[in-house]
Amino acid sequence: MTTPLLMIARLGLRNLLRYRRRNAMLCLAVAIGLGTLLFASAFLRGWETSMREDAIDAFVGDLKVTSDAWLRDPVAEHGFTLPDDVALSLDSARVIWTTRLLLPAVIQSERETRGVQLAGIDPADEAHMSFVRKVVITGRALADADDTGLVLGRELARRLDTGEGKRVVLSLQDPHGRNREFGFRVVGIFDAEGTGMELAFALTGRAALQKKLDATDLQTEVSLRLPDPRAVHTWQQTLRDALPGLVVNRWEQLMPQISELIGFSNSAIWIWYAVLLTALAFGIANTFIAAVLERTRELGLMQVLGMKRSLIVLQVVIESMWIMVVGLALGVILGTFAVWYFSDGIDLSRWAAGAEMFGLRAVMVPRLVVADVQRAVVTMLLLGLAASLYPAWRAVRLNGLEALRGRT
Amino acid sequence: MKGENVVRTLALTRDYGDGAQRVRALDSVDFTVDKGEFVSLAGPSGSGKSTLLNLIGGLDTPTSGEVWVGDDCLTAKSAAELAHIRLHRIGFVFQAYNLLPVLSARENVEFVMQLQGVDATERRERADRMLDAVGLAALADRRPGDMSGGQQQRVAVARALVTEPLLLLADEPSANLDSETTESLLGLLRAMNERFATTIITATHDPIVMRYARRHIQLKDGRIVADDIGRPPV
Repeated sequence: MTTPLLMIARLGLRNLLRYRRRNAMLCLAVAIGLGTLLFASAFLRGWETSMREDAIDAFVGDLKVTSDAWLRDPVAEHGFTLPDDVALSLDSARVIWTTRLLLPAVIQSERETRGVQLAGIDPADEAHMSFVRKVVITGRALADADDTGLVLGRELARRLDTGEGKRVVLSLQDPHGRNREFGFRVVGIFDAEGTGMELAFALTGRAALQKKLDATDLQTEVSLRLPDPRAVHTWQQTLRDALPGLVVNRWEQLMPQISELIGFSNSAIWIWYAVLLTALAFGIANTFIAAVLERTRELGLMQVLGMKRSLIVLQVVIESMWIMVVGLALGVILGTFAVWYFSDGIDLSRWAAGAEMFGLRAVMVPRLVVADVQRAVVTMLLLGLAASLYPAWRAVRLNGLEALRGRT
Repeated sequence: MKGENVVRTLALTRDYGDGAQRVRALDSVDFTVDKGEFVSLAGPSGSGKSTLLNLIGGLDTPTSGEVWVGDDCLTAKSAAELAHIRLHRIGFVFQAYNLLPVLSARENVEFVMQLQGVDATERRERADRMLDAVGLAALADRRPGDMSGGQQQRVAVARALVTEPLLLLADEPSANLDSETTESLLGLLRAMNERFATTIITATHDPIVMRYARRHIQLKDGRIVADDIGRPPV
């Protein structure tokens, strides 16, 4: 660093210490501002992540293959059989995938009747694919794809007034369009995070259901989880090419409302940034202006002694940057600490009913994204720079002599 | 620029305000100051002495006329050029000392040399030598807030002289000092003037200051009304 730069850096540091209380308050304001910003971003990112994961987990996956007719009318008649060569290709590729038989049905207990999605699944596959891996089951889980038992959601069981060991009847259409009724014994009750999944799905073995419907190889969907979700478009195209009679959709296409909500979340982060940063900008600029006015004589003296105006601007900017750097460092620590403190999740169960409506889980885990931290720090640094340039400009605009006389 | 003139003004005029509010602070002043002179500018308040000093120091711009410092005509210079001239050719001592409060006495003296880009070792040697010359070697590490007014003004003199300027401008340097400290300070300025042949121009009301100067210029209503050259030293 050249001599004048070293000198003004040192002067800046000493001036910081000279107005300890004010500068400490400003550092604290910057730190709290950034910390709050990071925590709020982390909360929204957590919400976004949970919405995305829940959407993908709801028997959707990163990609889902169905027939076009099934999307309009999801009945067994619109199922298909996955060609063996495609199944083999999927097996050899490093993706997690499964097939399901997902059919609308009417479930009937001794007391109640409700609509439900009957899901014929392979529990071994679902252990890597869907919400099934996360549920808590009372009684027993499905053993394999041949399991003829039925696992119901807790809320559905409560509304049907049924339970483990009892029998229920499910009515659905077979692939030939005939209405069929099948008796199932409830072998387990699953407990999901919200009631949405508990009400929507009843689970049974895929092969067992195919057998009941006399359609051994019938599937209504193929679902894929990709190791790298960024490759989703490539996979979508590959599958479209391999399965010309079927449609391949990404989860965002199947659940556009969730995708929109995530977009809204991103916008909310930007709005939050704008509001907080605007407020902070005024606070910082105001304090920096006050700091410059307080030292009009000194800055005037520097001009009179022959200090270049550019160096005086740099002096004011460096002082501001010291405050910003210290404040931002504290802010990152504060925000990271807050996220770490709530890393086990923020309990929203008190507002569970309302929260679920917005895709929030009962326990929300904030998620700090490095890019958000970088963006916030850089934005605030630029803001601090802009806020300090104005008082710096005011400082050099003064005639050195008038500044020496204390005129502003 | 002719001969040994350090300062030369030609019909130097400075007006303040516009229209009916216009006030002529300096009215066609012509004078020269040679190298090694110790000049006092005296006169009642509003006589134009500070205005003249500021114009010579490149801190103000004349309404008309010219002011030369050495070979430089200040009237034609940009703000950056004037800053460069002030930095390299002119030393300033002010009524209110005007030291930087966060710097020690030594650092204040070093400040202008830092702006000039003098290397650290030479800077320190010259600052210590100058503080020793003004009798403040023992207080080199003190900050202005821990020094008396007289001590601060001595630091200001050291800062002004350490770069060996062509010209030292002092605006009411004794205004905040008691008579004993003023005598001491003026003795110091006089010694510096003799030792380094530094040209000194000081604006003052103070008769003590006037006694120490060798040349006495009296201003009234923006004009030089008396120029007493070659008075014997005190």
